[in-house]
Amino acid sequence: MRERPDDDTDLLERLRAGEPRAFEDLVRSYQHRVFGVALRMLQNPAEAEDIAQEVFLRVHGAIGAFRGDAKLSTWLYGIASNLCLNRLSSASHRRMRHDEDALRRAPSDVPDATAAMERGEVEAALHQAIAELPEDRRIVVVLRDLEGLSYEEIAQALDLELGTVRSRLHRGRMDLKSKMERFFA
Amino acid sequence: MTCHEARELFSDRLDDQLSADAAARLDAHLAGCDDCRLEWARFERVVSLAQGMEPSRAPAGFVDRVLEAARPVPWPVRLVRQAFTPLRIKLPLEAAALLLVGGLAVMMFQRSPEMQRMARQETSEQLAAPRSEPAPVAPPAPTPEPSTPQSPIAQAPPPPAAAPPPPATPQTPATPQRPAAPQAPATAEPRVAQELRRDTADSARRENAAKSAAAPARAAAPPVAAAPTPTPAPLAARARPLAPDVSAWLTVADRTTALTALAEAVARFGGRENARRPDGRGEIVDVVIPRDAYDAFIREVSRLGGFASERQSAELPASVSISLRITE
Repeated sequence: MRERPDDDTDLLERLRAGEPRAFEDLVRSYQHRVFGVALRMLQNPAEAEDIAQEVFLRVHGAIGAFRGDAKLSTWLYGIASNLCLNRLSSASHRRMRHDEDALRRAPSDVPDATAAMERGEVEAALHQAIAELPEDRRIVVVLRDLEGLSYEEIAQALDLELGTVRSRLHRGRMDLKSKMERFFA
Repeated sequence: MTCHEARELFSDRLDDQLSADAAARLDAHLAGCDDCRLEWARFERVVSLAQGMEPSRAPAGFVDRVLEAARPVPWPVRLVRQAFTPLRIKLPLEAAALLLVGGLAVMMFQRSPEMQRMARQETSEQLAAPRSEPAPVAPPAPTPEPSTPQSPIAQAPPPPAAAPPPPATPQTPATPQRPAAPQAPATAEPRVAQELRRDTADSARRENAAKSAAAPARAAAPPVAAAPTPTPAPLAARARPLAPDVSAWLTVADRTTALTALAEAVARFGGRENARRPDGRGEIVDVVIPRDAYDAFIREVSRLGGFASERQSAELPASVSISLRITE
């Protein structure tokens, strides 16, 4: 889980004041986190970069309209999450994912349990397990367990009820446990 | 608390979201249930693994690319992008449109005689312009020619739109009465234009000769541009090297008689004699006959002796130039 910056108040003020370096500082501060969310959701580095770039461009264009009700980071995560979910729901992406799933299933039919106990293999399996989660659960798991957002921040970013966040997170984690079951035998 | 109820609380328990009471009841259940305890351990392990995963890093140069993309684009660049991007789609479309427009333009030109005629006229005018100065007046020819007053420019082939091409070989004065004089083209005819280009080298020489020959006439007469002289048009004026439309042999018993009869026939059919020059044992006579009278003229000439056509253009112009080689 990532360490999160304590306060973006100063950065937000500079952005609102139109300071030329402020936007660059914002991108430098959040590039890995925004890209990380996109990569976990889309499983494709090129697409993830595309989405991450789009996130920052939207922030650049809409910083004046940001009211500050949520934290700057929450706003960024919210934009990134929505863009990813939109991309995943597009017809072209569904088709592409179907092909990738078919490729992915082939080697997992012959698991090597001994080798998989290696840490790298476990992490690869965990990556795979996260990728196979339903999208609505996956985004909550990513924001909570990989990015370290609180339940309230996740609810704000995704515009969900707190109970919905709690429920989806629990289901997602239980799915992960089931998918990783073979490593605990 | 049932096992199902206990397992539903795992996530909240892990994130310290449970009340103290609920947490105590869950702990009590786990203490007494081996299966749930094992499930809890596995749940905790998986979440711990997920939270310990290596964070992803944005690719190198990402910041620069974002900053570049966020920079305002100048309007010319925006315009070009709008016009050509995506290249894969717009470029072929634009190329196809260009080809289509070009093809249509060519097709329209080819199918429109008016446009072709205009283009020809422009080309001929451009080529003929430098040669349009008045040609010197040549001495009168003894052959029956229209003797209407003419300006030097009008001495070129008369009314028919297409000027008859002159004889094929460069002309030198065939007789003392017929000095070859250069002539400005009177009509816009591509063949004339070609001819003008071809005999550029000869023209200066001919002009000089003609000027010297015409000097006395010009001295006696008022300027030709001011008032047309009644001088008959010189027949040998069109001594230019261009292949005639028809070349033919005429074998006669008496050349002098034949030449006289030929001159009469030319005059009767509305034609004119352009040049006459010796050729070995015979004589070559260049005449121009209106196309409408061509067949009748040939029939008439055939009566003078043995007529044999040597060469004839596939398509005869309005004024047919004939090079007739007369031998005995």
